[in-house]
Amino acid sequence: MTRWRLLYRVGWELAFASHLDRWRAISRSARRAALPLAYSQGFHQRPRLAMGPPLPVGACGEEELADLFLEEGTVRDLCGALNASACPGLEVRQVWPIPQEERSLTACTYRAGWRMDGWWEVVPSSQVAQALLAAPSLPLHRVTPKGEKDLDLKPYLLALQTEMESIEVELLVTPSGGVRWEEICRIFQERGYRFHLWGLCRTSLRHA
Amino acid sequence: MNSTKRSSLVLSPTWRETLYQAERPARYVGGERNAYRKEEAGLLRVALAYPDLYEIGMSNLGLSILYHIINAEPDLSCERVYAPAPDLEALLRRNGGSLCTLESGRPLGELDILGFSLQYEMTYPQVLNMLDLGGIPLRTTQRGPTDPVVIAGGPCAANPEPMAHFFDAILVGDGEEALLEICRLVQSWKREEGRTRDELLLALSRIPGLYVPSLYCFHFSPDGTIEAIEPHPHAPTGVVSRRVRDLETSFFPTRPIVPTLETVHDRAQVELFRGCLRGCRFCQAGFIYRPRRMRSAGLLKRQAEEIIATTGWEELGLVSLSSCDYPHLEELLQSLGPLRAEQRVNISLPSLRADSFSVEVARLAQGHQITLTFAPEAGSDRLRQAIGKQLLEEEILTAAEQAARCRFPRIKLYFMIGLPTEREEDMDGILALVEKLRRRAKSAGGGVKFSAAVSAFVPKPQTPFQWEPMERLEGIRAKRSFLRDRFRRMGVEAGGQQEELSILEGVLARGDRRVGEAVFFAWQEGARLDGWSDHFSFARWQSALARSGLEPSFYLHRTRPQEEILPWSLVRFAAGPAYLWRERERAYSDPLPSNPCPQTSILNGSEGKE
Repeated sequence: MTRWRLLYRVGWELAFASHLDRWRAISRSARRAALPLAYSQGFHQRPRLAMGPPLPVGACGEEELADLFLEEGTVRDLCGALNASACPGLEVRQVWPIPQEERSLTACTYRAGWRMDGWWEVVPSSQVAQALLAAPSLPLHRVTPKGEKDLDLKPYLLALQTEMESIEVELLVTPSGGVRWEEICRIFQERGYRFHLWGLCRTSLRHA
Repeated sequence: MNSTKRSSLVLSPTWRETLYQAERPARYVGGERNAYRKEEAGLLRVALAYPDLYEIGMSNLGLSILYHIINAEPDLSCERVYAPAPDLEALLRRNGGSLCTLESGRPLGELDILGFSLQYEMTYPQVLNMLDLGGIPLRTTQRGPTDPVVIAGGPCAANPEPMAHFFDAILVGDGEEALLEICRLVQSWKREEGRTRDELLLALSRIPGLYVPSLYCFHFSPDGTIEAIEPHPHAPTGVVSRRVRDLETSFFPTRPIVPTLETVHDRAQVELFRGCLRGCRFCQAGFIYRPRRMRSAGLLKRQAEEIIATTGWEELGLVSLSSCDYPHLEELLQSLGPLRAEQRVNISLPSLRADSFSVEVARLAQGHQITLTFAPEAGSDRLRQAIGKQLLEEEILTAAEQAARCRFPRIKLYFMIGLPTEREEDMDGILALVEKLRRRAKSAGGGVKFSAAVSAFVPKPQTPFQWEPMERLEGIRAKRSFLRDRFRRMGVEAGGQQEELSILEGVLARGDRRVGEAVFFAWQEGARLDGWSDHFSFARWQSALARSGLEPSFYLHRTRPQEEILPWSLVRFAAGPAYLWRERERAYSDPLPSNPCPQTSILNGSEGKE
């Protein structure tokens, strides 16, 4: 069995799908490409495809990562084969082999860049972002279907910049998760700068 | 996508802003694999509409066939639109947005033809909602020359009358050929200046299988029944359903759209046959899709291989009304062996009989990890015989025994209550049957879990029971409650359709055009996804029926005499009213069957044509 790392782009066609739906879309693209896929064992056998950190619903992705397992060693132009059968919204940019024992993508990803497009009700000056970066802590109360908790956004916030119609942010990624885009909007909203999102893109994903 | 451009989806910032606030926004995006996107000018713009959520509508095989038939024509464009969930509807109404097609984002009002698929009566209010959100006048009389032609088809066309005021035309029967004829007619009408909408409707009525309700005037007696139907002087006096004669040569899409999000039947489908060999007297599909027409095993294999190659689906459904009645099933399953072994494609057989052959087929095709679903329908051989369900108790018990031996984990049973000729002891019969099934399964050594869905029988048009009264709400409640209580004590999980939902389905199924007013009021009062029990409000419908001055019991609880003019009298299927009446009579007179599975000409539909 061989393990291949896929660097791919997610476009609008797949941006509003869930993480599981995207997994399905990529695995079906690989099935259409008639690749010698490795399958999981069990009654419902699935292609062995391990995704990188989940992309939230509504996000495009420029440098997304996934690991695909194949039964046989070499496939001529794996990248081309995948692209020829890819679903709209999926573009495989690069494929390279990696050792079987390589750590999982979720374990080794540590930093993500984001771009949020939209419009401000009141446009913040650049000092607002600087002040947020300089703040000792950015407390936030998170409510999810699973429960509520208080957390500090500050350790996750590595870089932040605002423009007339966008927010660019670098965030720390941990295996247990990270900060959500809504929460970035919230810290601005709590300071009087409401941002209405119309586009979200994970522009980079850095891994060890 | 089936166009030359890849990844060309354009979502406006305003629309994206709406999507970020919606639940499951992927429902409204489109751009899926194998979807068409035709941007040329001068095309006739058609959209197929499904009055339920994307996840439900995308599983509909009929719409998929029609979508690809239209798009195969270079000068026609076919798009799709599904019902918005309540949250998106609220966003659209708040922002003044329109309901748009998935392919081009075009508001429905800008189309040339909008065709609804009517699979279930409870989706009627959603049709009105989609028209309203799309900017189309609701009633056919309110539409002008620039409005789309609004048509419908599907099994509900068996009685087109409840929606008569809202559709310009309703297609009865198979749509494969007729839909293109409709497109061509509308296309030529649009090219000729000065022709009126009335002229178009009259021309549409001349297409075989197309019913134009506004060309028929219904006169009602003081007792509420139909006194006479007066057709327009130039309109046909009746409509005979369209039928694809040869499935082997008819179009079938082998590049179907692969949905982006998981749908209820997220799988490839091949249609083994259309129509049914069985003669179940309660089953509308069994009568309106007659006669049975088949595809060869060789063709199905080729189609299956091509669909899997173009979609990447992991599951293949062998669909029909009763897949185990396909005579070449074993040959087909064998020929699909490489697809299963090499490409890990699971085979599913959605409609199984409750007999040992079906259990064996299910085991071979799907393994033993699935829930088997059997529909004994009634608790006694006598009642099953009366309703035309050719299935003996011993066969069901043997099937359960075999299922247990094959280590199937669950068996789900479907029962109906309120069936014609039903007696009190038939309730005990249901309980006794379930108990016997459990014992038989246990004695065979399997740990099979049973669940039972009990729903009210709803008499449907174009069936032998179209003249029958429906059980009263109190009776249905009492029987379901009795059975649920007993099932609980037996440790059998109980379910089934909510009583009030069945009652409403009963009113709409056999309603006349006056019922359309109740549909309108129900929509006005907020009825949307009423086929979903969590969205359904009986009180809202009671109020709507009261506002329209209708008495539900008139539609539900009367035994109609044979000579009564029924609202669907103008619509004819292969099994005509005289044949249906004879079948009804047989329900009251038949002895127990000597051969539980006759393969006679009656069942394949060659009899019953009049």
